[in-house]
Amino acid sequence: MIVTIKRIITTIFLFLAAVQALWPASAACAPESPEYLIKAGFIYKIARFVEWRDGQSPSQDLILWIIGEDPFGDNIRAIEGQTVNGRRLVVHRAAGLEAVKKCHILFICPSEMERMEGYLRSLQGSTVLTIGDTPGFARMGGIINLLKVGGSIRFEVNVEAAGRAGLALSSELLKLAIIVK
Amino acid sequence: MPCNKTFRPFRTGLSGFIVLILFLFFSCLPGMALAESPGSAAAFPLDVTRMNLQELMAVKITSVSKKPQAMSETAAAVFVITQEDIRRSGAASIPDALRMVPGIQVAHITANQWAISMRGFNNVYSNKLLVLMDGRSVYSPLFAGVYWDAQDTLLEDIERIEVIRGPGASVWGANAVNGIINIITKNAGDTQGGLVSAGGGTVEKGFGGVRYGARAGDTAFYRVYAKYFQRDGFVDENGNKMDDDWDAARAGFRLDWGLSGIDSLTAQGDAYTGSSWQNIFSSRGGVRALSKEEIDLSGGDFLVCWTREFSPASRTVLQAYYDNTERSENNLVQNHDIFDLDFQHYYRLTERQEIVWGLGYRMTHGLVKNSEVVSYDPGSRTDHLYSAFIQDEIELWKSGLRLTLGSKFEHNDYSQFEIQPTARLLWTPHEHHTLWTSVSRAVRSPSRTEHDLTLATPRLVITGNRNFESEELTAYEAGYRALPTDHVSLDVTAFFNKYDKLAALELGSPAGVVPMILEYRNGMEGETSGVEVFAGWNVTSRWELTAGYSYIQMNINARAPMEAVKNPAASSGFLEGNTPVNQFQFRSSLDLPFHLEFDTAVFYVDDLSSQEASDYVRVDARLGWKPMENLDAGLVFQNLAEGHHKEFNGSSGTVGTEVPRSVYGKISWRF
Repeated sequence: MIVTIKRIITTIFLFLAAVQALWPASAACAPESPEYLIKAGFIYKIARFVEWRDGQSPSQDLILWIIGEDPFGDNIRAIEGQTVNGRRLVVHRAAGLEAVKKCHILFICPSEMERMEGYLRSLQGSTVLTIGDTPGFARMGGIINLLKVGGSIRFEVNVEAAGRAGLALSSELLKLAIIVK
Repeated sequence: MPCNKTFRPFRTGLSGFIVLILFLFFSCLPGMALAESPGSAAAFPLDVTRMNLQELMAVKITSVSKKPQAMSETAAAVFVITQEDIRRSGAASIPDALRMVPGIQVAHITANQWAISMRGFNNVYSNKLLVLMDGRSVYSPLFAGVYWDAQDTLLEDIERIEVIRGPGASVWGANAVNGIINIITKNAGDTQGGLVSAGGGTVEKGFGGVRYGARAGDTAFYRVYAKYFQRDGFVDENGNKMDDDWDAARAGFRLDWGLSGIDSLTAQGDAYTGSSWQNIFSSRGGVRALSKEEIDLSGGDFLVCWTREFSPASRTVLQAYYDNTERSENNLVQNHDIFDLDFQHYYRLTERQEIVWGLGYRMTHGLVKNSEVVSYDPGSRTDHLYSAFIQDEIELWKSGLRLTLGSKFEHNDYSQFEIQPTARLLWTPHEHHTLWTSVSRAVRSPSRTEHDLTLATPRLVITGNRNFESEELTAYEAGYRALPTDHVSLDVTAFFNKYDKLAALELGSPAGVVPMILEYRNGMEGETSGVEVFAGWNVTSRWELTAGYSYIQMNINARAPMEAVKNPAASSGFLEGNTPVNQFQFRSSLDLPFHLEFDTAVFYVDDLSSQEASDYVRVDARLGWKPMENLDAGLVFQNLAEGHHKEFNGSSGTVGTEVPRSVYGKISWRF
């Protein structure tokens, strides 16, 4: 009797596990993405700890380009137009790097995975904070990589790449970061 | 299965468990190719621009409704102890750290025994609390209370301790009657590199811990840790050293693995061994003599949690764990295996409606080696707990009025079917002001002790009772949280709890017969009410002050006139006298020049008439030095106010001891 019950329970849970694994990602038309809201928050907060030594006056806008298939959607509005150390954050989108003009922060979307290395190469020598959320992004030469670890967001920093780009990152930022290089 | 009478449920459970884990791993593979879906909406549940990086990293408040939620949006009395709070308090153990929670009752019985409760009913056997470590329940199935000397981890690895006062039964189930303590350790991604910490002093004779964390691949992080401590015994009422010293060693690991964009897996495990000494009175030939007795404890646990995020609006969590506890003392040798499976699904039905539902199964296999004094019938037993819950959170108004309705449905082998519903209303009239109220029902289902125990001494016999039913609670709560300015926070909660069928030991033999037989029955009922206040003030960026106050009034009586017997536990005023009516705390955390930190805490605890303990003031102070980000030294003074003071009586033959003044030093280095 007990054995039967046990078998039934085991079956139910294996079934649930199967459901969990094979559940169609049907809710694709989800109204909201807390993950990308939080990631937007990270971009905004991280920018406050970065010093662009580009000789521009602090009254000028801080320009963020999102290239590739934008995963933020309306979440980016949570930070768009907000001020970062006195500079207004302006957001632009582009399909590829070619269209990007003046830029302080560049978010490279996961959709650009294959072109990532090319982008990073052509950005060398420019004072741009590159941010991505693709595994390996920081090791490839990107400066900040937003990672989902467990149920929360962490960020990797490639300090060498930041140095090459002429960006000064505050120690407070590095304290919380996972340093890659 | 062949007709094998010696059916061993634990083995079946374990093999099923292994199958399940293998299944988990393989079933994750096809999901890896799936990409995250783009989102698009205007309403933001959180204002990310006002949060700092640490807060963003911590977005994952999971306790109240088993889904991520910011504390200000929770319709319950939630209090969070952060890692920094623990570090700066100088707390050397989890119970020590819990004193920070406004309204909690923490009392040292001996150096290694605590009575910890919330909203009354404090006792060494406090049984109305649910204590979890990373989602693993740690209350003992034997008596539904917690062996605090067995609950520990590397304190540096704790991310936060979420404490909910009041019932959380609609989601968490049985035992979450008066409160929930959820100890959450850091993600392995946050504990990279090495850590060595060591120290020692008067009560904390010596301790040390090591931890190492590293990466395994692009998205996997792990850590391993080990710790050991040796603590001295406390003193008697005259300040003479007693023999309740203890020591414990513990090691464990945690792995966090982002399997794909939508899957993440956590696996963790611990093993520990320790010995806690007790002073006991034994009478030989009419002479009462003090002797010491060793309690041997050991155990281990293994937990796997797999989260799948189908989309931002739909997430499932599947968690399985196994936990073993062994404890051997003079009259009681016990071994408990727990195997637990939990599934939950969070789903955002519409923009204004979120649903969480879940299923759970727990198997407990308990083995008690009966002695002449303490015996359980049956000595070995396997219990099954089945549960399901559903909770619906509906936004009623644009202006932030939210209604949460939910219930847990549970079947256990003692009291059969239980329903525990809740209704909660949260109103945020202004982003800095939140009001909430709730009505909930919760039960504390019977433990083995109330059903199966026989404690036999020459003059007194205590027996369990198969008809013992669940203790029941209907709780009414209301709270207000405010951030009047950027530097001040305020949290006020009021509660009124109505209990029925509370446990009492009633006379089961004719009066005057020796031995007197007392039996567990649901003989008591009553009410408790009180307020809990907490305020925080960041005076400057370098100085933080917090204050807490709690008041509780208890009124517990017999349901019907009890047998004419002097039963102290059933006499009015006894239960009341176990809980301090007034408690006050005041803490200061100050950053000084030269990387010095100075932290002080003052606690006032009212007298406990049933424990013959007068009110006391506890003063702690810590002088810390953090010359570098990775080096941290501290000198901690505890219980400075008095040479020694009593907090709680001993019980079950154990002699209670008094807490002495103490000091210890500690140094930790990260690399």
